[in-house]
Parts: sequence; C-alpha cells; structure tokens
Amino acid sequence: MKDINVKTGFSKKRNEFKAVEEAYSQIAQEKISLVYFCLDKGYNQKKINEAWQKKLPNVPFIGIGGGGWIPMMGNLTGLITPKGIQDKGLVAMSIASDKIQAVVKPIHNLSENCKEESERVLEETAKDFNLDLKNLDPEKCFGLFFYNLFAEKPILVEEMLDNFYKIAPNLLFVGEGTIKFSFKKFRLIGGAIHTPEGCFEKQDAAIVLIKSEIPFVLEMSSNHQLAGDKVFKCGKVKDFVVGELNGRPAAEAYSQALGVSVRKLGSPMMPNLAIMTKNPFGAIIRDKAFTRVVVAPSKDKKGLIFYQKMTEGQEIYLLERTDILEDTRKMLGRTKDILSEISAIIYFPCLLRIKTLRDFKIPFSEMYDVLNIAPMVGMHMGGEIYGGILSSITITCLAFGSPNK
Amino acid sequence: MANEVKQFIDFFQEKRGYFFLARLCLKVGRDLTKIEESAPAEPELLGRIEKAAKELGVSEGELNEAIVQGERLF
Repeated sequence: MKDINVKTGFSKKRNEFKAVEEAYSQIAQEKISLVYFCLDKGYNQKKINEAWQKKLPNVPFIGIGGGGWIPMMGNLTGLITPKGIQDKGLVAMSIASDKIQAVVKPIHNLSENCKEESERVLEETAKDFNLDLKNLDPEKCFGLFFYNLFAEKPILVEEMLDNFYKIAPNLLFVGEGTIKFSFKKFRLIGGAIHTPEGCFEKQDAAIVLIKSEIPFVLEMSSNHQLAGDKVFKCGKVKDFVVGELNGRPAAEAYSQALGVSVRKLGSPMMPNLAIMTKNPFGAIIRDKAFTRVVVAPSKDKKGLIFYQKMTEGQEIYLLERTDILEDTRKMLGRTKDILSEISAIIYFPCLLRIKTLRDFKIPFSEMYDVLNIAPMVGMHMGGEIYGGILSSITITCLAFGSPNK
Repeated sequence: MANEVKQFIDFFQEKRGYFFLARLCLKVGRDLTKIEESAPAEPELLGRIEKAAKELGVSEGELNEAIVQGERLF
C-alpha cells in the first residue's frame, strides 16, 4: 500500500440510496481512514446518512448538506467535484492511510449547554483517541469543525472555538458552517451535518480529530486587501451589533465610506449582500486578511450587524476585493511550497465566493482549473474556520502532502 | 511603548505561533504587528493586550515571562 491513497466520487442521481451507491463505488478502497462528503439540500438528509452508515460500518465519516437558492443571489451551492463546480449532487472523498487516524464526534444540546457540552465532547474524544490536548504536536494533529447553528445561534460558534482554544491551544481547527435558505422562514438556517452517529440538522456541531504522520497544511485566502489606512473604531457594541463607528452611527459611517446612501445597505430581512461582500471590514495580520463582515444594517438603520462577534473599542479597516483567481492561486502556491506534492485537498469555501465569480462574470470552469491541483472535494457554505478563528468570504483548505517529500 | 508592544508580540509569536497572534490582534481590536516603534504612547493599549492575552489562556507566569523578555514592567 502507498502511504496515502485518495479517491473521489460524484453522483448526480436524486435517489438517496442510488446516489450514495454511485459515489461509494468510486471511493471504495481498503483501510479507509476518513470519508468526507458534501451534498445539496434537495436530498433527504436522513436517508443519505442511513445509506452511508450501511456502506461505511466502522469507518469514520463526516458530511455536510445545504446550499441552494438564496433570493436575489441565485443558486450558491457550488459543490467542488471531479466533474467541475456543480449546483446539485453528492461528492465524496475517501482517504486511506496507515499514517492517518481520525475520530468523529457530534456535539448536541448547544443551546442549553454550549460550553460544557463542547468541552466534554472534545475531552472525551481526545481521551478515547489517546491524545494529550495540552501537549499535542500541531504538525501531527489537527481538527475539523462543522456546525449548523450559525444562522440561529451564531454566538455559540465563537464561544466553542474560544473554549477549544483554551483547552487545546495547539489543536488547530478548519471547517465551515452548514447553511441553507428556508423559503418558509425566509431566512438562512443551518444545514445538515452527517456523522456515523446520525444526521443532525438543528443547532449541532461536530468535531473530527485527526492524527497524521503525513504532512499537511491548513491555508486560507480571503481575496481582500486594505481599501485605505482609515481606522474605524467600534462603539456601542453588543455582541454582533456595532452601534457606532468613530462616534457616528455605524451604518452612516459605513455607507459614507462606500459612497452610497444608508438605504442602499438594505434591511435586516433583505440586506444588500453585494455591497457587503465587496467591501467588508477586517484586519490584515501578517499579510492575511481576517474579514469582519457586515451582514445587515440593524432594524433602526443606525447600527451594523456583523458576522463575527465584535468588541467595544475594536479597530477595523475597510477592505476591498482583490483578484479572486490570483489570490486563490497564491494560496495554493504557498501550500505547494510547503508540501511540494499534494495528495488530497479539501476546500471550505464561502458561498459568497460563488456570487463574486458571478459578479465578475468569471466562469466556474476557470476557478475549477485553479483549484484542481490534486484530488479534491468541497462545498461552498458559510462561516469558515481557519486555525480556530471564525472568518467569512474566504476559501480555507486542508491539504495532505506526500510522506516522502 | 510601541517597542514594548513589539517585544511582547515577538515573544508570543515565537512561543505560541501565528494563530495566537491573530487571535490576540482580533481580540485587542488592533493589528499589533503594524505598530511602529516610533508610534506615540497609548497607555491603555498594554492593558488591553494583557487582558486579551489572559482571556486566551495566558497565565500570570507566562505573562511575566513576556514582560521580562520585553525588559519592562507592566
């Protein structure tokens, strides 16, 4: 056996069992360490989970489901498959290696007991996995993190990540939130998370702890840069809502910086995501842009609601887009510089990148060609995690190298 | 003072790595890597950095180590 074998599979079949059957037939191999899969929200997620459980007894697997149409933005699913970037289907990857071990655990009851539950699950999982959380080697161990509660209880995401960091500062997580648009509720809600213990669609999360003797890299590109030197100081902050920027109503200061009227920012129910995607706020830390994204003006149109938790006195800068293709190439260039040869790559991109591609009339095939440097899989979702830090409008990735390089 | 911030940041980047630094910057709400040594003193900034570092799990001992390395007293 080679040190690492990776297979990818894709199905467009709409019958859940047939789709899993087809994808599985392409990824089946001996000694699978981990299966990762992504699918659109049109499938019955419970049936999909049942089908994978039958196919993969005693194999750790993690999957995400969601995406779909968002009003005024179109279909943002963006499955990264062996057959290009697709709106619909089921894509999967199997990673087989004696040098990679993975364990998958869901986390529940987050609304009632987020801190205790996430802590308990992380510590129990590490114990089962014989992992010393205080003293682990970040070059031999990392975590994946998925959640489906961003739209409903976003504050819990950062609470969990902060908590993980305190327990295990060297355990770096990458991953993303699952998200879909509910036409019934007319807003974004959580999508599905698949684990061997079942499919979870309401206020849950899951962690995957991975020990790897195969070198790996976690990377991120936000395709944004500073739009200027002006500092915006946050005031009257309550969790995600910033009331003032530099002492002025935040919505007014933001719209003036963008050269548009406050009205153009939209409303909490129908925000102008085009503007907010183009010019988020953020900070550049050692050449990497960490976005702090406005998702809507507040109800009174004076404050701004952010994607990330903000703090009183926080200083942020206005960002502007860079070339999305070039920045993605640079991210992969950095990855290749470290790994030399890439055996597998899992992407965690933001669904707003699909919108960016459409805004700039960049064919999906061009982005696909940039991404296609190794067997790959992924899905455009929301609220990416890079090194345990919640970000957005990024592409974050996990790449495995070759043991001999 | 900016020099003290820089030494503090260098200490933690070396000891705890990039992601600690990124978290610290985001928590403090300031890109601490961009502070120039000639920048004017901001008395409350060091207090904010210390508070954020503690929130990120830095112990009093480690904080003292950083301060001593930075050749200053908080």
